Amino acid sequence: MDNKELIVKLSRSTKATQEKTKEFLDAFVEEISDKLGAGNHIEFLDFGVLQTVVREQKIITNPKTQKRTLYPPKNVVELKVTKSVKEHIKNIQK
Amino acid sequence: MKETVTKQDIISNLSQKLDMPEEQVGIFISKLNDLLLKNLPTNKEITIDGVGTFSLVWSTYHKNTKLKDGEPREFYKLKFEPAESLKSTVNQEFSHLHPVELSEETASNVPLDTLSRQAEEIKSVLSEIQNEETADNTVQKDYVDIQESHTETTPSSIEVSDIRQETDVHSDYQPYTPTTTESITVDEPTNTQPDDDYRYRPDNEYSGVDTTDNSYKPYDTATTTDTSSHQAYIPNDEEDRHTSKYDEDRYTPKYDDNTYTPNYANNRYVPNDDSNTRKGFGGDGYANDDYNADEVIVHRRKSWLWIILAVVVIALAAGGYFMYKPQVCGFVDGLLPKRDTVAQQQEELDSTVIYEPVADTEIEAETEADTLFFENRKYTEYIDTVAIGAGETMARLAEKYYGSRLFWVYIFEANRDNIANANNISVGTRLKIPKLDSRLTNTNDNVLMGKVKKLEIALGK
Repeated sequence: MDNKELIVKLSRSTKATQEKTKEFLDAFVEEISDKLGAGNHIEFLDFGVLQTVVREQKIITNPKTQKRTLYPPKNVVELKVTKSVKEHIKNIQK
Repeated sequence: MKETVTKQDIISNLSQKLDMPEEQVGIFISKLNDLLLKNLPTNKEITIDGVGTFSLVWSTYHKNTKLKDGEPREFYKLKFEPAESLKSTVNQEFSHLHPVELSEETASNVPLDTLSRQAEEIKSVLSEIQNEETADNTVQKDYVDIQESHTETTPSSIEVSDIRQETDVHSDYQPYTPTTTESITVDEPTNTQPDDDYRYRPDNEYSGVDTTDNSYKPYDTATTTDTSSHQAYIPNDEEDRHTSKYDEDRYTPKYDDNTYTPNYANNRYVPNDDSNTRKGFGGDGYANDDYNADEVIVHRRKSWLWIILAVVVIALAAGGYFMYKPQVCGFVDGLLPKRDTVAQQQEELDSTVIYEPVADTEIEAETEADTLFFENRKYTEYIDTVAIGAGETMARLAEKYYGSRLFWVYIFEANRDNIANANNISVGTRLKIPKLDSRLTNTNDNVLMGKVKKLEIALGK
């Protein structure tokens, strides 16, 4: 589902215009990115917690060329899903 | 300190931004949450611009994983992939860093901390080694003092590093030079004293090699000051010479030459003839005094003879079988028990009618009777079909249906497709009894009977 479809469906469910829902989504995304950029954890809806994690620097060897490269550290976003959502998704049949 | 921003905080911030009441913002957020949960199973992937992609991934537990009651082994998992914009905002701290390819030089550059630690460890090890070396030096010096009386020249100072430098330490060293001018007699054993050659001084600490020279043992232990050149060693016959019972001829002491022969000094028997190294009974021939190589008999298995013998026997048996097969088979049949049933005996009697073999030629029609015989022998109609039982014959059926045993030929001709051998019909074979003209079954007609007999012969019974 694209962002557009999401906006359409959300506007239908909330009985608001699509412009308003789009504004809401943009503000929502901006809030999340600002808080995450500051290094905070965010409770994302009822899904779980969006948190930043630091990946340490590491040396990786290319097995073909045997060349070693040093990769710098970086911050990464992870979603820690709640138990209720996990079990709900586990029960979904293929 | 990382803080966790709660849902309520987000709602309040958004309401301020959008100038909307918090209830409405809360409704938006709850609807968004429901929408995502409901549409994930169907769409399997939902993207929110600026946040990321939520997708369902099918995964399984390992087969050895112990599951709880009702827990599925295969299930969906929620996977979140953040958007690029979000990644870049989060990684601003390290955005200026890039991966660096390490060359061999840079790879060996260990950080300074570790180098310093290693340097300290090496220092301690070196100090320990140096302490051990100083302890060894003192021991070496004592050893030199003990040997002073045995050497004419003693080094004034010894250093550990100079042990192997012979020129500095042992100035009076003279290399060994064998002399060939002197004559040696056997009857006059001479006591020899080796030269001041360091090789023949087992306790010499200046030798750089293993000083335990086992090849030489002076028999005259009294040392002399004779520093003349080296003389060949001659063993003492009474004491040292090794003589065996059988090999007196082989034992030839090697003192015809002027060369030094140290082997005899150890009383070791060394045979000159190396060709006779075969081991007989008793293992090592050198250790056994009663061993005589000429008397030893070695038995070797001649398996190839047995193989040839077996092949010959098999060939003879096969040839005999193929040449005398009928006699053999008859003999074997005679040994087997005979059949005693009455039916079988009757069958044999029926089958023992012997006729002279006649060529399989058609009997030509000569008379009217002949034409009748040949034209009316068309088996198109049948009276009955009979299954042959045990002991039954076509002759019996012919006697039953036609009145004479000789008329079995009609039954045979009518069932020729079904019968391969008239003498051997398998039990259960269904035979059709043909309907014949009465003239063909007239037993009073002698001509007919003669024809029937001829037909019997023609069928080759």
